[in-house]
Amino acid sequence: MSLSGKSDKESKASAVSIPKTLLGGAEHLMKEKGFDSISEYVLSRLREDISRYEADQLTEYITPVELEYIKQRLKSLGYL
Amino acid sequence: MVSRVHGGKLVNQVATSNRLNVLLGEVNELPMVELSYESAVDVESIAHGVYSPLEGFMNNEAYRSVLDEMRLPNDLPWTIPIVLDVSREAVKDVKAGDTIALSAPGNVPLAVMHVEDIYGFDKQEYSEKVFRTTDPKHPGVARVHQLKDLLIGGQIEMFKDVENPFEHYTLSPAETRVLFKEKGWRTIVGFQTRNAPHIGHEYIQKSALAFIDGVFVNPVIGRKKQGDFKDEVIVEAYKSLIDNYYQKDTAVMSILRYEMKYAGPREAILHAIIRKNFGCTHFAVGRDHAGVGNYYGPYDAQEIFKEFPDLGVTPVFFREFFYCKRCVTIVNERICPHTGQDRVGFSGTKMRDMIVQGLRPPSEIMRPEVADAILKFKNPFVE
Ligand SMILES: [Zn+2]
Repeated sequence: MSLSGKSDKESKASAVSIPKTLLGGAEHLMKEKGFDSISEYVLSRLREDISRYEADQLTEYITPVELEYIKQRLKSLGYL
Repeated sequence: MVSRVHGGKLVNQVATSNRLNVLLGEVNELPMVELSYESAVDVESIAHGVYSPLEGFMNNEAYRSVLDEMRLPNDLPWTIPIVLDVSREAVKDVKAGDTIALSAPGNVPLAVMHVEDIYGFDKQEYSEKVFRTTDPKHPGVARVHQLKDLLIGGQIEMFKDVENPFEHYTLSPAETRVLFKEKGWRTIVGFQTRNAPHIGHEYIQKSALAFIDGVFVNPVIGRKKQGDFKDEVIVEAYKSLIDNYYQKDTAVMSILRYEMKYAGPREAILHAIIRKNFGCTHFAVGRDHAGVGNYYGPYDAQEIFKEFPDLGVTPVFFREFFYCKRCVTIVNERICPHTGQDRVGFSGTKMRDMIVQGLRPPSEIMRPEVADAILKFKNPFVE
């Protein structure tokens, strides 16, 4: 099943397939947690995880030169 | 995959290249305020992003918000004010909008501050809200009463690190984030400590390692109470524990220069935020975390996490471990049905008495290698 959900931008951007075997559980959880649709539920979980974890974004605050310098220091101190 | 930085952006207020030269050129012309060693270390922590998203010492708005709401004005969880105290005399010619120099003790300039405001504060109110007590015998309350009368808020830019006897064991959040990533850890549990490790600590860490990739042991180094283990003893004892009893690449230790507040629940949240900034996805909270005496209930510091579902770091709660003669192993009250004399607790006093006499505590209490590392020191305790 594709997650067409509401006509918001996210659903237009990309569809997600959920295997039939998971659908029953997903519907149950969605109701249990007070969401109106599976789309809303999945999006909410995704937002939560994205706000929690950094997805390989070290380069956002470390330049390649700094990264090399840090690795060198970690090696010289025996951490790596 | 390390945790996201608190507030989303790792703060870096360390001046480099051109900016460094500008600051070094200006600094001697600026009014200078000399800081305590502890405040100088706070400058360094801010500059390296340990307190992200803070870019400086809190202004009055942030101070009020943290005290009253346990959140920054932008609603991000934050439970203990990070403030800089100054005397009236030191700032008599300073006003909002000025740039001042901040120096470590001995007039060693280390940073500039762009002053946002200078404000008075009520030490009783601070104590009541942060420590839940105004009892002057509480070490945190006593410390607040020693603070000078005014607080000065504003962004800082640092150009010199503070002298650090543990430089080889000090990593910045940028460094630990690279380290965790290089180790391939997807989940990391932060472990706060101010003690040499006994078996109880080891069991907490290893229980967490049953479902988490790596443990980040982060002992607090700094102003201590009489009778506490000396900083160098804690570092050596942990080194010995990790070298002898941990699977390679499951544990990392670096120190945190930080002055304990003994604020129990509120401080547990701050400790978790700091470790989140180092890249931890989880944070271990044991019995009476950051507590002292009988000021807090044994699990108050776990309860408070309920108020912060948006903290962005998952607390892992532990009951205290002990040795049970009938279980013949280390257990805690959740898994051992026995009581009373069967249970041998990790009494700090008992361990201390043995160490003072030059004796190794029994091996069900402390690893012999750890005991030896401690006993190498002539006097392992703060006098
Ligand atoms: Zn038992």
